[in-house]
Amino acid sequence: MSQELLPWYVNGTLPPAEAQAVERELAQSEVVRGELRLWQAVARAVEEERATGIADGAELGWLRLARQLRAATPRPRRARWQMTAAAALLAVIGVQSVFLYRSDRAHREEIRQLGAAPAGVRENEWRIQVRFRDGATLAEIESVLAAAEARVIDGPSALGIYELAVSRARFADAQAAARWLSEQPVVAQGTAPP
Amino acid sequence: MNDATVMNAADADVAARSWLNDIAGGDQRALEHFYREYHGAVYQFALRLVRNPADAAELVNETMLEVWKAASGFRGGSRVKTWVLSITSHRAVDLLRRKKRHSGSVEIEDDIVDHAACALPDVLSGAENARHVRTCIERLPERQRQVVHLTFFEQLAYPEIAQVLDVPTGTVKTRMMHAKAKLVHCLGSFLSHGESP
Repeated sequence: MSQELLPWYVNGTLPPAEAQAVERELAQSEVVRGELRLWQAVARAVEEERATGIADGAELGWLRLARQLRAATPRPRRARWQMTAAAALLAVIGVQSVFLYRSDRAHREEIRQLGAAPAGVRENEWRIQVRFRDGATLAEIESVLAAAEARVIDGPSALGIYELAVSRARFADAQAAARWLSEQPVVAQGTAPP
Repeated sequence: MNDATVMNAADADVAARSWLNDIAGGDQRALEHFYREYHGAVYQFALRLVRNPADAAELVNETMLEVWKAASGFRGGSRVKTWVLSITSHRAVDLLRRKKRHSGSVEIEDDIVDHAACALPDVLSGAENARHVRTCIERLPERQRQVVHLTFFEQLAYPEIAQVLDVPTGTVKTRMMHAKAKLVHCLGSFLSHGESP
């Protein structure tokens, strides 16, 4: 029975065949035409309601949802590059431990004093301290180290500070190296210790 | 729907599919676009279902979270609007169950209305009063109100409504017939009792 399709004839979503069937019934029946008027009145009433506007909670709603998503999203993993750096440092420390152990036996007088430059800074390198920004990726850090001709020799400290050995061929002095590193987006701070 | 409306709906659907693809890849900006596009439709449908602005806002939030999690599950077999409103419908059922307000709507399908008391021709003049019509729509049982809303507010085809509500198309038509009977009865009451039947 096409009469039951009248609401969707009114909203214009019937396929042509069903719409034509409805129109045939409309042509034949006063009752169906009356029902058409009812649904048209319903459609007008709803349309007026739409025109009066809907509650505008979109902005607040989005802010709430965005906050939930941020809370649910794991923070960028600093661990990946830090673990890689830590692994490299462990290797360095391991090598240094062996070296120091042997030095201790052979050259006890050469044990470096607390606070001196860490072992591993060669004569052709500057010692620089840097702190990388949170969220810096391993690739970004590696890129900066490569551009500075630098390598990690110690760290991170409790404050997140790394000791770098930077090529003297790349920078005229340690201050220049520190300045250049400080200007890199992934570096929060670069200093040349005395 | 006129041709412009059809074109706009088609354009909106194409854009929404693209957003869903990006959302599936974890793009929150795409979700923001999606949210702003569908917030109104989801909120209005939710309000029809739960009749409470706070619960409707909660349903919008739950629906959009589901979109964020399940965007990759959209298979493209329906319009995006149909898909997102079906999420709202399911979430509303859950919400109403939680609130234990769902009982009472189940038996509505078999609800019998006294047609004899208010014949259609008699109430058509009352139907010209849009406020009366809206009041009568609000008084419809939940399931009938859903069908009326999706038909006239969202302008969905009846097979799309069946998808949204996860029922056979015959059930959609039946609910609409029951809604018509209730509307006629309600409008007749306005005529009999004036402003407040």
